[in-house]
Amino acid sequence: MSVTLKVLDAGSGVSLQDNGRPGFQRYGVTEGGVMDRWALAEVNTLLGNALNTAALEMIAIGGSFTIARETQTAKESTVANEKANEVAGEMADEPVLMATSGAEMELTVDGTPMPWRTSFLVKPGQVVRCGYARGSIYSYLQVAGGFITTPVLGSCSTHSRSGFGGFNGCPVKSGDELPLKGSSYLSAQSQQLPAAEYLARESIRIVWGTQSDVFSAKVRDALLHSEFSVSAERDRMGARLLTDAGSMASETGLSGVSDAVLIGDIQVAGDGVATVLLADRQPTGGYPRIATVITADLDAISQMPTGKPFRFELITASQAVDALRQRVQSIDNLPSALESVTRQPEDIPNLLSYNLIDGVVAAI
Amino acid sequence: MVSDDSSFPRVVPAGDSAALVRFGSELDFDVNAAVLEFDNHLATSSIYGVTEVSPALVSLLVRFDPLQIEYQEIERQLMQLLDLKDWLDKPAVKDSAHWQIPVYYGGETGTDLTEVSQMLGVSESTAIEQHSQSPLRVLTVGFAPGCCYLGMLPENWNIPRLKVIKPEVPAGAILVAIRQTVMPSAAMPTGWHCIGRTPLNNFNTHSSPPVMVKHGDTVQYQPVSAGEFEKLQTLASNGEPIAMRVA
Repeated sequence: MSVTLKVLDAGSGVSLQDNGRPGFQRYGVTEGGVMDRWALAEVNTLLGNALNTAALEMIAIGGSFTIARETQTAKESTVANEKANEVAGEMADEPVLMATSGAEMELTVDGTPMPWRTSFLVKPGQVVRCGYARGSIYSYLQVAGGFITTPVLGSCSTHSRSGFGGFNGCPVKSGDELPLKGSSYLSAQSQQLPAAEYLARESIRIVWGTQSDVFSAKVRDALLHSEFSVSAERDRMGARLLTDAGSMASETGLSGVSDAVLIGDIQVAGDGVATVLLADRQPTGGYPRIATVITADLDAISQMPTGKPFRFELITASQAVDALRQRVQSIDNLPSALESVTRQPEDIPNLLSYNLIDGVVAAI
Repeated sequence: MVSDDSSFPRVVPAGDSAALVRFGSELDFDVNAAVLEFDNHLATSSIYGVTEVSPALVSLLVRFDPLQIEYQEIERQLMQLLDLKDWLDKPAVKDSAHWQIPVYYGGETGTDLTEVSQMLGVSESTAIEQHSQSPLRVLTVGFAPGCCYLGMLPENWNIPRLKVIKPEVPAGAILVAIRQTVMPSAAMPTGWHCIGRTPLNNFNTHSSPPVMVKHGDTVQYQPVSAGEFEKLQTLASNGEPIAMRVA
């Protein structure tokens, strides 16, 4: 019996992403991967998945999805076949545990509102609908066990520009049927994680970069003491920033020989506009880069709401490493942050009809 | 070796999880060879905590896990390796392959051949001859998967890039500017002049490594006719090898 998540409709940027494919930059392959690694860890923790299991990333606009189970029923009417059909029928009805994380969206199952950053059971045929992202940009939808895909260069992340990874190297679209691996993890009780602190932050921490010295003291000063916001010109490659500080251009650095680009690099093109380079950045670049967002704040800058004012805070490399260590520990501690959701039975009419025999697992 | 502002090679921190080893500030054939030679050397000397090394034109990025090793320790170990010899003194890239790669010059893809020839002040056939007879080395692979940067073309090829970006050139486009040739493996926008096309697709996710022609390899282009190009492209799309490894 095969189980799929069928895409009924989807925003243009819904794609499968895990933590990306490091190790191939020397061949011109960018690391890519989720825009929000914290959210990927959350959605997988909610479902008992390995933390790097690829999930559907939605960019500002979600979609509608349904679980489809295909069963092969025996046609001949014998006692044995009837029994087999009965079992198959029961299995065909088994729910799949799903979860969400990242930017909050309006979430419904068959029209019933569900809380965000929570796991929930979905029966075959029920429609899971994710609306528009509120505030932040990147949202995640995951199934227990994850999706069946063939990793490319060690990762299931979709890299649309290169046309590989994920499902056929491109975002998912209406009509796609995404096969599920299935999972032995089935919690009858919905679990939730507390609201995430990093969404909508007021400052983003940076360290100076390898080319900071090609910028004048005035421009470097402006970076540290001006208000910035992320413009609408943003995608998986990078986010152009708006500021009243004027041109951030370097007078000397425009003809630099290109070298490796880091995720989080703040690049200034000839027009004087600063752009933070993100997950799908090009692996090399020739424009000068004034500073680098620390690893621990990459999710926060990727998720920064469009137009929300923020400042850059300069810290030392050792402070950046401390922040990273803290973040890694917090991810390790996510399972202990899980809480059971206690809901009124009348709020969850569908859950009660599920066939949960003593917590017997829904094996696919 | 003392690392001050005027000496190369030098090691500088890049972000919170990488070190950049710079061998020079301007693109130079020998500086690039030093990068590639040091890259080969790093591949044989494993530094604890290093997660990835990627060479570029005149520098090399060393990524590491800062929770396992401190930057200062990475820098110390890199400097130790850099002090082994003068990497910039007659660097030689070892263990590289030599390739002959077919190119159909001009035609519907190589639309800038005429203009480039005029900039060089030679006829189209002389331009083709100069481009295909230059012994080129893959200086780096970057920008997009499998996309090779080769150099150096003769000095008269030091022509500027385009002022206006072309929205798209196809996979295999042969692009030129600033004494270099770029050979992308997939369609992409470009600011370089397009003078021809090769049927070679240098990138294959099923191979290990995923590129055939790589850093340090030497390349000589072989002019082919439109008809030969078509034939070779069909062969290439069936997975047949169409570039010849000579050595």
